[in-house]
Amino acid sequence: MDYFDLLVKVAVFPGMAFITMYAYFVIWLERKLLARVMLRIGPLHVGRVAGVLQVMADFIKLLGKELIIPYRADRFLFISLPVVAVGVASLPLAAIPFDEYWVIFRSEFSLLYVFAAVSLAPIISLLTGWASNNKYSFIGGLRAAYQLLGYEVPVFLSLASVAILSSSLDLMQIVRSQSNLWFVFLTPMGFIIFLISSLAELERSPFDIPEAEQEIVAGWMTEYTGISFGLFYLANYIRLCIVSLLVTSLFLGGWFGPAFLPPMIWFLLKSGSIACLIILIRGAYPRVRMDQLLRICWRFLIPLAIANLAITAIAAALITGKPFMVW
Amino acid sequence: MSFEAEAMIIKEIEARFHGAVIEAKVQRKRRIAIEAGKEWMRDIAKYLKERFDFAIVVSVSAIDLVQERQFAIVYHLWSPSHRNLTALRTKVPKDSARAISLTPLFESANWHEREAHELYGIEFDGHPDLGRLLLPEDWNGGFPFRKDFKLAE
Amino acid sequence: MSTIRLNWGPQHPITGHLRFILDIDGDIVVRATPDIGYTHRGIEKLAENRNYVQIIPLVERICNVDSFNVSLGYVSAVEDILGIEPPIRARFIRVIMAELNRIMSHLYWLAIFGVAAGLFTLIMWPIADRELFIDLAEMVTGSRVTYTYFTPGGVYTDLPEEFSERTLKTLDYFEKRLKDYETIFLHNKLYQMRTVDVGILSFNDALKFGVAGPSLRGSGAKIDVRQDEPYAAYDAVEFEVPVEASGDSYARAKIRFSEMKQSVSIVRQALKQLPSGPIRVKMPSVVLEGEAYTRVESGRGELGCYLVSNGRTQPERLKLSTPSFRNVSALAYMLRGVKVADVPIIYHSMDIWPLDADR
Repeated sequence: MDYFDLLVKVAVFPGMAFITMYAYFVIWLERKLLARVMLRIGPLHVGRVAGVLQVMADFIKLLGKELIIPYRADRFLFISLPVVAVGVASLPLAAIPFDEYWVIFRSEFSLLYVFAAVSLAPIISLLTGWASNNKYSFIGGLRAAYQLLGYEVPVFLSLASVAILSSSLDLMQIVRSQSNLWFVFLTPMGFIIFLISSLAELERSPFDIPEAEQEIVAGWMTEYTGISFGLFYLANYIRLCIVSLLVTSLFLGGWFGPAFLPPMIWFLLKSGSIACLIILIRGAYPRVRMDQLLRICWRFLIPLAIANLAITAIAAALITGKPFMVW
Repeated sequence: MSFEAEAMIIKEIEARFHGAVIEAKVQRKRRIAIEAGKEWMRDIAKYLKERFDFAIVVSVSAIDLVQERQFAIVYHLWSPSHRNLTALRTKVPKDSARAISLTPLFESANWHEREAHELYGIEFDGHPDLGRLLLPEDWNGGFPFRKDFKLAE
Repeated sequence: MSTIRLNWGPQHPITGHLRFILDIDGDIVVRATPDIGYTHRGIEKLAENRNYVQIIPLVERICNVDSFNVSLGYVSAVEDILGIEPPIRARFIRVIMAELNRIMSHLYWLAIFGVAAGLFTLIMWPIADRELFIDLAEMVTGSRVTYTYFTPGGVYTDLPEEFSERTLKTLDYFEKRLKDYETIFLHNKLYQMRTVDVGILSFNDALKFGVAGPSLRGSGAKIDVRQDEPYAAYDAVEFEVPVEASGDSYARAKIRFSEMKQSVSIVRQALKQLPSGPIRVKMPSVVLEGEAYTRVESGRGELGCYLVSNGRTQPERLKLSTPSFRNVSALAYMLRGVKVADVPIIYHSMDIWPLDADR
């Protein structure tokens, strides 16, 4: 095992440095794109071109702010959770293939690993809400846990349909089997279900219930100031980037595209467009209520996902003549 | 100008509460004013509500009459069907400022009476909850809207 | 089952300057106690130390986003006591400015109500469109809010030359924008999910608690001061008063939308019919003695101004019965048994302006 190779991949590309840069880009993109939807302009002056350095300026400002730990908060959790959040948010990156060569960790079960790593996030929200010793945070943390009940199953079921189509749980294999036709055309319903459930998972509009500013100030993040808040913010956007990379790998054919651009660029372009879509959804829809979200998930998304899974499995069996998954 | 609808209401009130009404007159279009003793307020208001559909108390004002050493309490009632606003006025002495609350009849008078109690110090008998409304919880500086309360220079 | 006591406000992104003490059991609000008074300035007491013209800017500050309507109430009370009536042109100008102010007030409401459900786009668009109407008011009066334009006897200055044309252009643009707002707001399925059947106020309860304005008309009661006792020039223009029967937050939102459309139509009619003539009558040199109660329909509902004068230069008593004060008392009852996420929706559908409630 080439340790230097691994180090470069983990630290630089496609590891921490890259995902931080990508999150930086998506934060800037959200501020500009959302501003245009709202008839504003967004950052303009900091950084010569279109305010690109605004995010950096805000980050430096956050570094200079006082870290306030509330009375009787759990100090250890309070201080360590933001860093843990960034780490946990970046975990799925280990298995996502950017190219035939650029992948940190190959395994036959990388899709399962990615699903498990992504599901860790609500635990961080719940712990944060508990550790802050604040009623608003507590309610926000509980809401994050309730939201988990809604979106987990549809995510899993739509991932299962992708696994059936590619006969493998290996992300590399899943991308490779889309070389002729992207899975979004084979299972469009699975794509839509995965996208909607991912919005709930990311706690983004219209499902940003744990962070409902109008009801519980800032939800589980209420007591966090300064760089702790900055790290949570970064973790949030890292998760968004990871989801956009996942959606591209699972449904949009990964790095496959016409030859006039290198495959890596195609991968980044496609995930960038998914990030744009997620950002634009935030500008157009209000928040749903928790019970309405759970109703949508249980009465609508889960049956649809089960139907999608069944149709995919039957179609795969009929076309290939083989039952279900072939290992 | 003759205000027939208003004059009719005045006539019926005077006929029904003959002797209790101190003064009842038409002020202008859609405005009549009735003054009575404080023990008659509830009966007159009840009659207005049931006979003329005066359903809403839109305002309860307390006026500090310095010379007479009295508080005037004015209830304004609105009748949606007759489109008439009646000012129902009574006077209570300043030293023992107790009035009869109209809240059991009109829930819309609830907060207005609460405010009058807080700012003038008038007790309303029969009011369900005369708690703090506008002033801070730890206020003990007297009754601000009385004329003898001096604002800070 | 023990309940959590949550302070909703006053340091809060969305409540404005008041507080609700919510007792929450799980996700249900068991009790909601409104706590107003954070911005109580004692305007009624201050008015007893000022003469009648000095009170006009004082009274405007009880609702600075809607100050044409508020000052109209006070100025009409002074006129009633004096027994004078403003000239016909002044009355039409009053109608025009009051209706433009109603549009401004409803746009501000739309901004806050849009964000109450978490959509920030709906705070940016109405505030931007409101700027156009503020420009119109600035053209006439010189200020953006709190105009001090109405005076007993008429209005201070006449409308400038280009006002009529610019207003009509703004109204044409605004009518198109209203269609955009309807698409993104009224016909948005997610908004309907959040507001339909939320915060139902029945007809009897609305009358019982003395609720005023669009909140009252949303429960089926057709009470609007402009038609019950027309003031200014409202009897010379034709307009409808929208009424909805369902009594939920969606009905109240729909009514405010319809009111904006009706205001556009009223301003158009008034501009067309605007007669020429003087804009003020000469004030009689008598002292004020008597009392008057005027009602006007401000953006939030019926505002009552009770003025008692006793022959001196300062009034004996000025009492303002504001719509927000009446609506907040109903909220203690409406917020019982609802989910926590519905609290901002219901609260903002009643369009409470805390400065209005506190005076």
